[in-house]
Amino acid sequence: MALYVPVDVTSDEEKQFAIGYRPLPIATNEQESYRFERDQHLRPDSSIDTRNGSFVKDFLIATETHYEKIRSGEFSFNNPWLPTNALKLLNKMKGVALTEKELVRLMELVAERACVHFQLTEGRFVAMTFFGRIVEVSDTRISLLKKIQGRKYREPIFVWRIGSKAFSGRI
Amino acid sequence: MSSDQHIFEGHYTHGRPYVRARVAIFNPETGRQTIIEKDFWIDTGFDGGIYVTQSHIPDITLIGVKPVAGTIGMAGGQTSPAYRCLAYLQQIGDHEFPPPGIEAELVLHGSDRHGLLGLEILKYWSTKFDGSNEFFTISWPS
Repeated sequence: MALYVPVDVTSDEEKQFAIGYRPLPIATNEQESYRFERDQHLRPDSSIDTRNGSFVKDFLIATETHYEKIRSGEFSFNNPWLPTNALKLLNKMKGVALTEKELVRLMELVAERACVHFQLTEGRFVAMTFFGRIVEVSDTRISLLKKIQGRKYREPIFVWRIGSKAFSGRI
Repeated sequence: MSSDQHIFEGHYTHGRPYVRARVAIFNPETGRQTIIEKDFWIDTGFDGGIYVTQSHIPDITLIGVKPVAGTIGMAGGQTSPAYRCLAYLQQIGDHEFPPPGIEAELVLHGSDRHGLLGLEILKYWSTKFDGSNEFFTISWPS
């Protein structure tokens, strides 16, 4: 009987070489930063929808049986990853009304994370959903309100001034 | 200064510069509008446009405009949730502004009977306070 060796089987040394090999030797800072954060598990990979699996290093681990446990319905390509305390408040908001303090805290957490994620310029005004999706950005508060006035959004939105603790107020 | 630049002049009320003003909120999708008419305190410590109590929210919702959540920074440094929408300042005292009025951010917060006109509105005019005589004037800059 003839032995058949599949073409995709490689030795350990070859595999290590294949993983370590970079076709482009110079990566951008953004790529490096992204890779670092992913490797350190600082954030989930929002650009890859793994569905039935999850990437650990460069290996796809099948997690079909735990699929429901790791699935996040709100997490998609254009939403930033939100910290656990923000997710807890969002979850609580589905059942009961948040206190004023909790609502402000939630808006702060979401705005802070979204500003970093989308690299928004300080001083601009944004309208975003409570899951961090940006729906409008504008240079002035008037033009932002003009854009969103009378429009219907599927999710509740809030407005924020980038780099500020509040949209407006007493000085 | 010519008389046609004059907008408002009056004495303080209870030690504060108040004006009677009319504010309109429009729904651009339907053309419906609602009016808020009340006394406003000229507040140079408020960096927003127009501030009224949040009890006006139901009137605004009735025309199909849903005020958007946000935050407001209070004098003591505390941050509080507030709602806001786009509004037009149409009248101060007897002076009417050309339609649709002066565009402004309307902040809905708290339960104060009086409203506030902040720096975002005051930036259009020259406002002079004669504190010793408790008298103030608002006019277009010459």
